[in-house]
Amino acid sequence: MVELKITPQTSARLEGHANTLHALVRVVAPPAPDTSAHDRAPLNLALVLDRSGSMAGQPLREAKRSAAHIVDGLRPSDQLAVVAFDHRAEVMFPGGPRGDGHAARVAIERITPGGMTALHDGWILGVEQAASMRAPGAPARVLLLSDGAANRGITATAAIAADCARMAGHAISTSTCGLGPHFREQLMAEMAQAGRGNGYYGETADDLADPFAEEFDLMRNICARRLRLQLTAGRDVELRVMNHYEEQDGAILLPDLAYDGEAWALVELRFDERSDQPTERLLLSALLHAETLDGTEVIDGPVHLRLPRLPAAAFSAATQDETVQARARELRAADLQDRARVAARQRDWGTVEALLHEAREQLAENPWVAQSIETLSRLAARREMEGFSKEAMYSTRKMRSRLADSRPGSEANWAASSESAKPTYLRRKMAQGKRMPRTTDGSD
Amino acid sequence: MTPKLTLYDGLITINNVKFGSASLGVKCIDEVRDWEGGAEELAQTVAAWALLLGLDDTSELTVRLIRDYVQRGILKRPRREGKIALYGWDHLVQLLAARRLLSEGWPLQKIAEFFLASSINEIRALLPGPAPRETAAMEDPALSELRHIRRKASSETHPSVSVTSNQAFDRMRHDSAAWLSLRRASDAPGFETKAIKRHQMTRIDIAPGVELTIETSRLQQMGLREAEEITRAVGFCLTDPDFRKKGDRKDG
Repeated sequence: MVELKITPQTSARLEGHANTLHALVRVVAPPAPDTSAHDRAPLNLALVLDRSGSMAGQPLREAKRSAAHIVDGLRPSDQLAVVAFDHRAEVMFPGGPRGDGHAARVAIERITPGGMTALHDGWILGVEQAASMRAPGAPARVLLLSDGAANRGITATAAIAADCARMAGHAISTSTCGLGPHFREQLMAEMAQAGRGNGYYGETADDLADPFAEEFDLMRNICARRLRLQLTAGRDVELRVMNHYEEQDGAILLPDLAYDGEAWALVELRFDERSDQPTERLLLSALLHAETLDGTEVIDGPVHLRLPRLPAAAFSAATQDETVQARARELRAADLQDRARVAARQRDWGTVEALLHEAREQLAENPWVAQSIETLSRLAARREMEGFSKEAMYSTRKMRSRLADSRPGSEANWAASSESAKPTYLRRKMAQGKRMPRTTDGSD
Repeated sequence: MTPKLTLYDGLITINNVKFGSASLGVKCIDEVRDWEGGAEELAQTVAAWALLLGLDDTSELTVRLIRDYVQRGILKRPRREGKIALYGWDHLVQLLAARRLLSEGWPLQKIAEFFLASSINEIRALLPGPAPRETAAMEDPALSELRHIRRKASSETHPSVSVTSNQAFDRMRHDSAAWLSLRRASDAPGFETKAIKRHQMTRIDIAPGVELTIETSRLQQMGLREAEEITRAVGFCLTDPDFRKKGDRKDG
């Protein structure tokens, strides 16, 4: 089953100095079983489409096209419901087997633009449909397609996100897909994060083809969920988790785990080295609680990190773990992108350029990060505030909470062609809001 | 169609629909949770259950009426197998509950709103018979959490469509009682019944504190041109400074 590991940045502590080192806490999934994806349990999915007036025109057309593609991508035995909302939420296709998909597609086609945006009401109805389709406790997903312009009923981001978190506690997760050039990314991203799902965005159904493929591949390959990681620092050691994960009851909530993937948290450890410290010192302990798909509790650990103490000369010869370094660069890039996004929303393009320059200088060794920075640089050069803000937000969140590919050597380099060969949910895209190019030179 | 009740070997058969209860007197709709059928079968089965449960409204239920109820949102949409629409236990419960509420004078629109805001178990609770204790025990705890979220949402915002089931039920019971007392008053000697006219109105909540009330039949028949004219008139009322000034005066 899953395996909990700790990989330190270096193999030793530096004697007589203050130390700051990173440790990668990893939850590694087993390889995908021989059973084909089609033999696994059916999905339970409720599609919730925003048909309010602000979606009129291309956004709604693309939402309907995307929804039809989703229906086409499901199997006959998958459970599906379709809900549409404006100021009123309506079930267009009641929860049940997708079958040949014809009735669901007809229901989607009947959706026409309406009035105001009762997003919370629409989401509630989607959750109700998702709950009605599944055996109690079985995982279900609500996928919301909207521009996030909630103006009716509950509209506060924090309140809506809190409700998403509540339902995620009952195994009904929420993923969101932001549509149109002006969608409200804060609400949509926070619903997905709190709802233990995934956040995507795009302007066209083509942009969304990859995210939806990723969403379904992930759902079909989940092997453990409700991952809760408890970390305990050693004596006189300060601990900080760098990923910005949600926490609950003293545990870090990791993403659901899928085959061939690993969920991870990068931990920064700070401590002083005094002469009275033991030669082998305990720096960090980790314990994992998770659930298999049938609800069986899994506990792995505790796993401990102990490192020997070395004098300066020997310490400088110690090797640095490349994976830990790569993840540290990703999170550093995420922090810089986050700050750049704030500056961009204030139209402070000078600060944006400075932060991107700093990222290029410091993080060029990570090819995926370099590609992401390049995407943002093009948007910054065109002074596209909305586009930059959205791409920066989703790229930042991806870097902080993605499932990594656990297969040896799979993340050493980056190329669009090699990423395309991976399971969709393990790919590292260079632009979150666009379809991954199929050519090696990055063009589409 | 008058329901035909027969007894055979301890089974209750109504309109050739057999109820697998082992003894007479069991009137629990929960025993037929796996029921499924087309629209005609639904009509027959509902008529039989209405008789069995002692509901007042045993008027004829047609396939056309069932489809109308689906359009109004009183019944959820049926499952489809190709061209065949299949109805299930949920539809039985919804139809029986709707007919009970109709017999108490509730308008169809109110019934639809109430059903929209209620779980199937809350609708089931409107029917006579043993309380669905076992169904409550089997209910997904996520649905309990969801009802809590709905009620909180309704208490915090101006009601749009999502009203809480308990508040809606209480309000509609009150409305029903008021309506029934009006009907009784209209039947009293000396009361001129022809003077009373009944209109079905549709209320549209535009925004907090802003609503539009329009006769339902007029809304359904309204063309685009008339709608645009009304929209312009409303816009004038809201934006013309003189008109708004007059609206603030106590004398109109």
